[in-house]
Amino acid sequence: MKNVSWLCTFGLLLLLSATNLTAQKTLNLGLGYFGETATHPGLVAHLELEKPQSKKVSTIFRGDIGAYVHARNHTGVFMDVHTGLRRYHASRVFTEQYLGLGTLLSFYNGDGVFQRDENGNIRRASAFANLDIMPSVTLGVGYNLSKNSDSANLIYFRPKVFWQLPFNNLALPHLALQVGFIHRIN
Amino acid sequence: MKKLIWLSLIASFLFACEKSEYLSEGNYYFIRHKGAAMPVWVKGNIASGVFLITVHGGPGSSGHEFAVTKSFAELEKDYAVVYWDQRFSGLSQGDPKKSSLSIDQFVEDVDVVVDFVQQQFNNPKLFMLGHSWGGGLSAAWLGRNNNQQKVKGWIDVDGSVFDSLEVQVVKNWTLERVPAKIAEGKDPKFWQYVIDWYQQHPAPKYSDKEPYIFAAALDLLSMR
Repeated sequence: MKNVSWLCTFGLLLLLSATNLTAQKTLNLGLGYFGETATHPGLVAHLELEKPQSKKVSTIFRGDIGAYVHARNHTGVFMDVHTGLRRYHASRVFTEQYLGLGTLLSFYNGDGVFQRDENGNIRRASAFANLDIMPSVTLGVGYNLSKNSDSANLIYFRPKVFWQLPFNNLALPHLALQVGFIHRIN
Repeated sequence: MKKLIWLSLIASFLFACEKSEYLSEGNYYFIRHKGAAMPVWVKGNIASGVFLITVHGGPGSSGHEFAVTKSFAELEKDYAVVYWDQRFSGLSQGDPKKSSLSIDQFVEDVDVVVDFVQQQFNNPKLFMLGHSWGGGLSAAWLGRNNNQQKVKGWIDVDGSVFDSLEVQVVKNWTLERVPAKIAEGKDPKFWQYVIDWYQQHPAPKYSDKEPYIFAAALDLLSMR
């Protein structure tokens, strides 16, 4: 029941983001390295809507989809939406901050998953672990490679803290480091 | 300066990517049982056909802590060692119900791990090592359902096996040494307090903190 209400909230947030889509000025596409606890490798792709609030500040709505492999622990596939601000500074540097919410699909990562069946025999079991809720906080710093602000090509470094819940009756925090590239497509 | 920053970044990335023992050695399994997904790391001399199943302490510690010690590295030369993380502990995953935090459930988990090792490795010779809480847990498992037949031997490392006896032994050990401390004249008020406390608590409980504080004080002084 808890999961359902979380998913409804997630859907609502997604809907709100989509509602804003028509009002946005630019649409950006991005791709990056997603390192769970920095070194567990993964990839993340994003589609973001950027709505300038002033010359220096934009509101961002972003949807991420990605995956990472934490060997001998779990493999995560996630989809989340973020809302936040991007502030452009002098020298084409920008900083950003986001709140996010999504879902994390996790699979046990090892040499096999086993369980004891009702007859007492040990047999292989599914590696599928859980569909968890994934709230997050992301900070970012980046650089605009394009001198012309109309054709933005941005590189970024984004530390992200996300929580996996429910996990052993609590919300398990994960740290992720993201490095990537964003291209303005219109 | 820029070069130095780049070199540091590249070096830290390369070192971070170096494969650790945890990622490469032995076999790493998960056992799903009653909501928990418990990691079971089997490494060492599997070909020996002799397996040592570790039952860690806590509750809430991790079996993986044994794996990083030199003593277990030595054991692994001759035997296979099974490092298991209990539910809600170490690197175990899943979302078991809080109601599964019971002795009965933990004993059942031990049984599943034993069955798994027996089946996965073609009925090897099994030994069990329990540390602290794990000593008590493994003893509880051994005492049920004729489980002693499943293992060739049991090693108890500082296990909480017989609490009421343990607290009595601590009491006797402490009270034998306190008169000498009073005679030495060092902190006599404290040692008199120890005697008074035991007079007021002739049958201390395992849950009482004082007997262990008194014993630790004696132990620390004896090491000086």
